[in-house]
Amino acid sequence: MWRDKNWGDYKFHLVILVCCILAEAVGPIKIPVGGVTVTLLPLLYSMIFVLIVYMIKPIRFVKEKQAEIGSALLTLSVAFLMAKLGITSGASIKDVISAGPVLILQNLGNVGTLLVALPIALLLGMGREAVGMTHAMSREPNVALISDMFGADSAEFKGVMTCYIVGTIFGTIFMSIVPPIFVSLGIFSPESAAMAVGAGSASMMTAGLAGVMEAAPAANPDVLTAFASISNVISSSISVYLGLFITVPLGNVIYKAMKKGK
Amino acid sequence: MDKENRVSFGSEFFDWVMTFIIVAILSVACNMVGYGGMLLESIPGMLIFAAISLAGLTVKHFIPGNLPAVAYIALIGMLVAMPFSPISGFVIYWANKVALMAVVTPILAYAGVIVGRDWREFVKIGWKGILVSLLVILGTFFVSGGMAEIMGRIFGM
Repeated sequence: MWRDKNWGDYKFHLVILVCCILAEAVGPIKIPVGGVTVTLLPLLYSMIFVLIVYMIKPIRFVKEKQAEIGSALLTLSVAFLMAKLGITSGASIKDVISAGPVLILQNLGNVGTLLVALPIALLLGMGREAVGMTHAMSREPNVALISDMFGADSAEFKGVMTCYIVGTIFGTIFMSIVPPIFVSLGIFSPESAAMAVGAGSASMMTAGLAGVMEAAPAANPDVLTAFASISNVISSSISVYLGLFITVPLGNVIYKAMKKGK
Repeated sequence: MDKENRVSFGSEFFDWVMTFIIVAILSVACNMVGYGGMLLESIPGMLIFAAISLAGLTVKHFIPGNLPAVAYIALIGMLVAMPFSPISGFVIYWANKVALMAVVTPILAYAGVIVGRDWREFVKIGWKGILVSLLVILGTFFVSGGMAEIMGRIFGM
């Protein structure tokens, strides 16, 4: 009976363990691109190794059922991560308080998704799905919100799912490459970049944070960790409200204005 | 009704504990292989993370509202590590024995199966969908970071 539980699928968890150990044994790989160093981290390989196992046909004990188990395990392993990050933040509480207003307000920058991506989506000829796609950097709460507001058969829902799936697959890779470049080129300070990587996805946040730390060895890693993780918690706590009251209504306005303009 | 609730919470709590044992094994393995951690030195940190996570999940279970469980967990973690907490020294010392990335690598491993499941859907997404989705992520990062830069100067950070 215990084998029916999510934690009881020991074969699957053993596969995960082997993939994690292999990923850590390989270790970080640094690739210099021009004047900037891009660092690939074990977190990327562990994802790719498990993906490969999933894709290999003969391995039958890692398939759809395990994806369900995986998403339950993911939620609880994120809990572990948040405990670790909470402790780091508590230890750096002085820096957190002195950065307080900036730390809180920059989360409103999440509306940036809309301002940057929606006009481009509409210029590319997308319809209503663009509103769902660009209303937030969509993670689970946003998928639930859009499905509530427009229904699971709507174009908007299709849009939010597109963003969700692309984010799941490419988000971590994207975040481990782009923020360190911004820091290396001096566009953002390491502290600002750390806050900005915390946008509601724990895996994207840690990938971005690790990259920022690599790119700014002089900055205090505990402070960067505190900024990123607190920003991430604020983002995921407000994302539904931000969508409901600001980005979806604003998206509708931009959508109407641009469709009329044509 | 009340009794039924309690029973279901009990079994849910048991599932959390069993799951955290698995997560802890994975994290300790990563900590040893990737970051030079010692087996015995890694375990107190795991117990601390598990205790904080269980406390946060329990709070979420009993308090109504939309706040995600991770918010409670991060908050409890912060509180126990703040200077006024009598156990802050102990908590910070053992938490630091576990590398941040040792906790992250297993998370992404589980994400791997979800990516596998979504792959077929992903292949159907055209280049426009991929481009716009990446712009969404870039836009979030760029505008948040820009605001932090500007406000950092205003507030003199």
